[in-house]
Amino acid sequence: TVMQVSVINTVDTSHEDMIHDAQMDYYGTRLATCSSDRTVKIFDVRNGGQILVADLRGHEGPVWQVAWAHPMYGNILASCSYDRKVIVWKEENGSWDKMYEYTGHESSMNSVCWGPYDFGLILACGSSDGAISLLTFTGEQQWDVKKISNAHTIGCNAVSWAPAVVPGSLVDQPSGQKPNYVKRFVSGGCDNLVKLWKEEDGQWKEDQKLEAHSDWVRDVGWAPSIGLPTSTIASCSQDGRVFIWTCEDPTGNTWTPKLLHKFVDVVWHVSWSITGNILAVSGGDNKVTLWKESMDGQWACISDVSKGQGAVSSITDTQQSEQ
Amino acid sequence: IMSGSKPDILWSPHHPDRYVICDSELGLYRIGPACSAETKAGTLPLSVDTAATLLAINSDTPYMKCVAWYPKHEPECLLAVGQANGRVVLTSLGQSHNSKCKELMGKEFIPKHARQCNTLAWNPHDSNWLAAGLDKHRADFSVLIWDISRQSSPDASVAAEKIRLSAVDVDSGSVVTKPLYELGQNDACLSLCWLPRDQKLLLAGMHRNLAIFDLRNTSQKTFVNTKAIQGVTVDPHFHDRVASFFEGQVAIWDLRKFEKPVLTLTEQPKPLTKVAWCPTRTGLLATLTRDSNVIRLYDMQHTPTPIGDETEPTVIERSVRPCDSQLGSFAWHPSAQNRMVVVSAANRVMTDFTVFERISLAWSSSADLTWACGRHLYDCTEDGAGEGAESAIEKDIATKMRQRAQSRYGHDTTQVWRNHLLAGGDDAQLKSLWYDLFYILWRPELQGNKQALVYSGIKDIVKVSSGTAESRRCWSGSERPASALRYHSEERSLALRLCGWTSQAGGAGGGPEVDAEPFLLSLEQGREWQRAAAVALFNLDIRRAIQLLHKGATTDKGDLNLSVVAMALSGYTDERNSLWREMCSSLRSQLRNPYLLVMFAFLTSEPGSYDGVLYESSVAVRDRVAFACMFLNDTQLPRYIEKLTNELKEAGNLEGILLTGLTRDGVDLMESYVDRTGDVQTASFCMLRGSPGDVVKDSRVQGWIENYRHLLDAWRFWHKRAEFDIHRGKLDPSSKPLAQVPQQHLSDS
Repeated sequence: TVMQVSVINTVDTSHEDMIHDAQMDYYGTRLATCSSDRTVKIFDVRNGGQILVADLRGHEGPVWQVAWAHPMYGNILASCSYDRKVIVWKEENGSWDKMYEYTGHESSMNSVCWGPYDFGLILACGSSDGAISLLTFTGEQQWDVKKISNAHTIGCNAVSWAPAVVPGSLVDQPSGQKPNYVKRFVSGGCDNLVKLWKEEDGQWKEDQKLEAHSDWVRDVGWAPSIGLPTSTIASCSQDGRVFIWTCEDPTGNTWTPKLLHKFVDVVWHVSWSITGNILAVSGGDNKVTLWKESMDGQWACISDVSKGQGAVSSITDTQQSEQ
Repeated sequence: IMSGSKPDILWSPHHPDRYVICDSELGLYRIGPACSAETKAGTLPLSVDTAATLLAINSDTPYMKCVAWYPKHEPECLLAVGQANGRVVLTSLGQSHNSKCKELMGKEFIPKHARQCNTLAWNPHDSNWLAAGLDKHRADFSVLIWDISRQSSPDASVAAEKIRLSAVDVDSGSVVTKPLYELGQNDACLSLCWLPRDQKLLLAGMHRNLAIFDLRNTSQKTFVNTKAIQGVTVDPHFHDRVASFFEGQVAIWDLRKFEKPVLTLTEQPKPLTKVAWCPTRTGLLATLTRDSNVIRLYDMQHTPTPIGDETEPTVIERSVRPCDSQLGSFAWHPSAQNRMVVVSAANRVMTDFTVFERISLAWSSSADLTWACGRHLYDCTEDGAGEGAESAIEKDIATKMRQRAQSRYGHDTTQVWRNHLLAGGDDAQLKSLWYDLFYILWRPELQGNKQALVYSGIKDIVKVSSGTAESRRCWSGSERPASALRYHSEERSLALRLCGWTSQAGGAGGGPEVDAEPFLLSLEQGREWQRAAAVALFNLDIRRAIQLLHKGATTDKGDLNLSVVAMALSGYTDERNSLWREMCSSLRSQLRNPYLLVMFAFLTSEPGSYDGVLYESSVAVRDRVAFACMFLNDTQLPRYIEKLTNELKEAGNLEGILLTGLTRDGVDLMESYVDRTGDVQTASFCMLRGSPGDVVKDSRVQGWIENYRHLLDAWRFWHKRAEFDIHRGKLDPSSKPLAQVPQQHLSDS
């Protein structure tokens, strides 16, 4: 089956330079974008509109990524930048302010990702200095910082949390107690590796090291789990390849890679849909492709979004309007 | 004519649709949309969308070594050409009636000693200033700054010089021999550029060093020794960042700490010929080497910061291939995002090309996908079902669940089967599931001792078979006994009712008489002729089967072939080796409809071995199971049901819920269905109907329910979620409203 998709809207964000990331909040009502122009912008996108509601300035370099926290903690956005800073922004009474600024790294901050809400307010941050920091809000303006040094040689490019899954059965939990979640996340780096991390007794430990890529890993994405026993991770790389890693082993020790596709150019990003059924992949060929696993476990491209429209034609449009 | 001249491209500083190609001559082109209606001679396709038209050619200036376009609006098409003998000539392309232009045209600037002119650079602020870089000539200067507005002076020495040069090609009124500034004594200059931060600063790539000349004090210069002295160029976005190259290696400099390169890019195997910063985007440097068909891009993902930065910046390397042939040169478009024109090394083949940016992606909760590319955002959504039923395009499960939530799918608790209609009515498995649940849940007679079987499927029901009776019945309306043995028991009757083959109210005794007529009538209503005929036949009523097939053949748009099948059926004989059997075997191979197939399979099979019916996978599970309950003995039946159950569990086929019921087995089956589809919505609503003390407590079921609630939250279906929680509370009294995670105290500032 092939899915029919089309570009319904093209927006000029008024960013003065290249946009590096765009993330929709939990409800799909607000869009945060960040750019080389050092700003973070928030748009209200309800009812198909695009109204700029905030322009966050505080970074001194290109802003690489933004991430929304779960709405139960309020309207909170994290951003990370070449300026080595991670800034946590919070909206209070309609105005956005810095809630926390983290400057614990020696190089560009490349990736931020909030953990599942079950873990509280916890942020993973990957840096070009090769380390990963975990920032946990402990209340009263306090943040606890844990740092994994030398997580990836040369640098960490991406982090992504595992969904909150309780080992064993929910039924066995003593009632009234908080379930005993295991915190896990995946990271990708310039050492061509995908690594899994796990918290044990309050300490972060390397759990798995997944080798398959032959160049820098650009992005990793842990698929949302919809009651599945299988854990699934997508990784993409400069080498043009996208791998789907699965683990059916309940102890989480055996991960098997499956090559989704070998693209001719670098693959920038991978992103799972809300149910984890569709993987969107963006590559240097200026295409966004959508992939789905068939019944027999093969991954097939179900849509090729930029075909005949999207970025290619709109660049011509831009050029014409400038004349 | 210059031999082996490599072509170069220059975009007009003011007309975004014009550029010049210079090789042995100068050609001015206009770029525009490729328009098939307007295929004029001289229009060259540059890409799918664009084409170029040659506007003018200028071959007045031989021995060209370098060209620079006058930066001001007027005169619009004035070019400075540096020649092999060191002279700089002003020339133009196309007609210009501007008097200033006429005055400048053909004006020549001649150095004292002839040697090659390597590079030219117009001062961006004072457009009268033109810097020329020359080869070395003994102790002479190699950087000359000419003032193009200067008149040739009747100075004696200059006049003498003029005579010495040549009287033929020098028009006395348009020759300038005295530069405004002379720099770089006893040296050679290979590349030049003015520094945008100060109009008096000129950066030059000299023989063994990069030098910054300050015109306010020409006796001093800042310099750094390096081999990377070719192609100096300032980053248009960061005026302190400069690139230069030597052979295959590019050096990146920061003018604020002009001691060593801040970065050297990975060396390329062939000598570089051009290096250029992208004017529309920060930190993107394009490079080209000799004999290459790719452009190598270096994406420097950082801004130089004044803080002493010892760590190497992140550089992403990429290669792009604008066309198949080897490239002569390229030029970034001055304003269109990431666009360039490239020209081939031979034959002047041009290509319009855009370098694509890193695309970031984001899904929204409502299954829309947003991505950013360059300075734009694109929003993309799954197309609606505008094409109607004929569209074979399957929607993603997230879209389906969202639509089903809006249509109250799962909430019909009285007419449970109707839920499949609320789901859209087009999914055979969901239809089967909700009918199964309807039959399983609606068993008024199940009281007392059968309590254990409340949530059971057929698999558990037929396991505990007691007092099975067998009978050999006659074909309906005849004295002839059928060869097939029929089996009866209370459990089998119950199973037939779960299959929907017999009515729910009657026949509770498990007697041999089965009234199939109400079921046949409902199939007739649904125009399921073949299926109805098969059911009639399995109830040993050939006449009814024939009648149903005739009806199917004659009712509007009927299939006339059904009459032929009916005819064949009417000749049935149980004699082996008969002509009828022979004909049936050949007819079977032509039949497509699975129900017609199983009818003849049944009639031609040996008693007790019905694999042709039981394993015809296109026949609905409920029909095969009902058949098995009638014709398989107590040994065969549980074995068959067990096997089928395992197959359906493995496949996650919801038709199997008929066999598993709402038991742990059913949860296993549902688990593989959810693994396959992600449909936690159906899984939640289905399993909530199971036993609250057992199935609903299963951690997998609780997981599906929680996942479904999160989806409803993410879609902001607050009311739907509340409805779901109420629905859940009714079916599973043990489920308390989930405690909200306490809002933490988040203080700002």
